[in-house]
Amino acid sequence: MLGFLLLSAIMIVGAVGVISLRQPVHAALSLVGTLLTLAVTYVTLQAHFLAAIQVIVYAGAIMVLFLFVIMLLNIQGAQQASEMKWIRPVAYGVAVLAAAGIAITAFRNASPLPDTATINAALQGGGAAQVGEALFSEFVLPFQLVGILLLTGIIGATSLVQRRAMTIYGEPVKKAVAATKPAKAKAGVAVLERPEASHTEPNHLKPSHTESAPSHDADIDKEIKEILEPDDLKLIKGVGPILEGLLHEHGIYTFAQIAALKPDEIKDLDKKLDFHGRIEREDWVSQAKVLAEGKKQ
Amino acid sequence: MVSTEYYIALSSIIFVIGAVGVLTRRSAIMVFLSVELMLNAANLALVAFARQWSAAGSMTALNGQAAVFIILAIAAAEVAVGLGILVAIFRYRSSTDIDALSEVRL
Repeated sequence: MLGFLLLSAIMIVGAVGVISLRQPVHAALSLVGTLLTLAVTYVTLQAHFLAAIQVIVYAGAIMVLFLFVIMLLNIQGAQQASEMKWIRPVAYGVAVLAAAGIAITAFRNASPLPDTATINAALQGGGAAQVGEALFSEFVLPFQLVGILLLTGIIGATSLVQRRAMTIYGEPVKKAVAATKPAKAKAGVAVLERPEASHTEPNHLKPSHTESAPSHDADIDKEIKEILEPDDLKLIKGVGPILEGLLHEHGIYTFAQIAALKPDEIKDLDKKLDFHGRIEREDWVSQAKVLAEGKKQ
Repeated sequence: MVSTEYYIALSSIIFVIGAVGVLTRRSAIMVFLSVELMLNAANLALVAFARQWSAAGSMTALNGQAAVFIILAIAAAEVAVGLGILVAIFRYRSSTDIDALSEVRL
């Protein structure tokens, strides 16, 4: 009993640490402590194989994954209070009620444990052979399904974190500039600078890909910089790398261009890029105005 | 031997601590860690019940432990996909604040 109380105390302290520590790394390490204590508890419950698996898979593999992601993303423990202030007291209240309810039910309906001989005969220490027998007889179907689930999970996780930046930054930008080359040669001014002809030709935002004849990619890359001096559109709140790529694709490279957008152009762009009114909602235009002015000075 | 109800009480305490973490923390990674706590609390209850059911025979009792094994594998898959989503979101938003993720869009 004393051992159990000690284990419970360590486990609960660890669990409270997980939800209260500010630094994610500290919280993750606190969880490692809880999981290792849980492995010891499994041993006291005659589940030796599960105890080993708990240490290897949970405290080992899964927690390493967590720590990798925390350190990779360099997540800091900026802990602001939730916007919903009422949620904290409500959560604590419901939690205490629920735990008390489960515990009271467990104690009121408690039935005595079978004697030690029966337990030892049935579980046989919960070794790999015994658990494996159950796993490959009654649990064959779940076992196979878990295999499929793991495969799906691996494919899903890989496709989620795959980088697609090259296709966004590379090709469309070159095509856009190649399309503007003839126009520039005629007018002497880059169309992309600030197309005044936008009222008459609403399709100006989408460079036509038909007349593109990119002969020297390096030349075109240089030309992008010369003509446009593209701004870092990501500085606008709400624009990330993907959206920046989409804007480039539609011939928008500078803050000045966004600042000068007219309402009907915004609507047009919104529809083309499938932005669902984000340009207005996040007020890119006035953001871009501020940024463009900041650039001039 | 410590009887089963103590393990169930411990399991319920760990579970509700995890639930409070899910409800109150704002960082997605902390929510994930709390979900792990809840999963492990359920596992502890299953292992405790497996021992309680030893009188019903070896096969029935070990079913509880086999179920925990399956849950461990599912938790691994969940963490892999969940952290993948987290990394993808972090790339667009530079933040894992779940209150700011009320709209899941590009």
